[in-house]
Amino acid sequence: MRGEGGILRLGEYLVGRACRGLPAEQRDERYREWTAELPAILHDPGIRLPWHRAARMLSYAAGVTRGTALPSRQRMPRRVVAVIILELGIFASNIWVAARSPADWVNYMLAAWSLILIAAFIGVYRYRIHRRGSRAHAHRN
Amino acid sequence: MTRPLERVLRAFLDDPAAPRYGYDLMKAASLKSGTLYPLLARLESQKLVTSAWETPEQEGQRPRKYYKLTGEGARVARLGLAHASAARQRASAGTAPRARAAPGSLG
Repeated sequence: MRGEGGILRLGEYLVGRACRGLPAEQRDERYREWTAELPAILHDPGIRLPWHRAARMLSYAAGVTRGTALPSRQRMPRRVVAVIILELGIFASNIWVAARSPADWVNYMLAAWSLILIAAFIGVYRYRIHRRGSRAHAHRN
Repeated sequence: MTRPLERVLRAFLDDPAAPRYGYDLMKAASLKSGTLYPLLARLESQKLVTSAWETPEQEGQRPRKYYKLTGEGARVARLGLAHASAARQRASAGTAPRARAAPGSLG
């Protein structure tokens, strides 16, 4: 099949990403197991069309990503996502205004400021999650 | 017992002694990989399924991992499936409330 190597590598990349969500002791074994299935799917004699086999393989690789997704308590809460989206919206509008009147340096300042605000918000959020995790770890030990 | 678990157990019970690869089970049970592997991990942790690595037939071939029902796994699977189909028949007849999973059962 033409482009087989590239498709395999893409599948391996997706599986690798999925394995990042796993505990360290399971990661290697799961990666070996799931990547070993990829060529088998790509050469499945039960599927006639090569593009269908490739789609099946990529769907398999994407599926394991879903299976190893972080539990809900480790995902960003909706409130945080909403604030980030809002800040991105403000940033986009600042860029738009700056593009409309390129001579006005205040617009560039505002755009830069909103970008800093997004980075700071994400930074504080990540720091708080990290600190909460460290505390929980210390409490368990 | 959930429907996906039921499908996986049925796929295993088609030939309980046969080693099954993840992809084969996916096809047999019509499940996505993201649903199948967590189920397999759970069954393995309950010692109802065992896994091993195959010996590659050709050089350069990646060894695949296969799964097999244990003796206890086959017994529990048959029992669980019988309970599930009985509960479904009762539910469709509308004669009994939904069966609850017994403690320690497959759920």
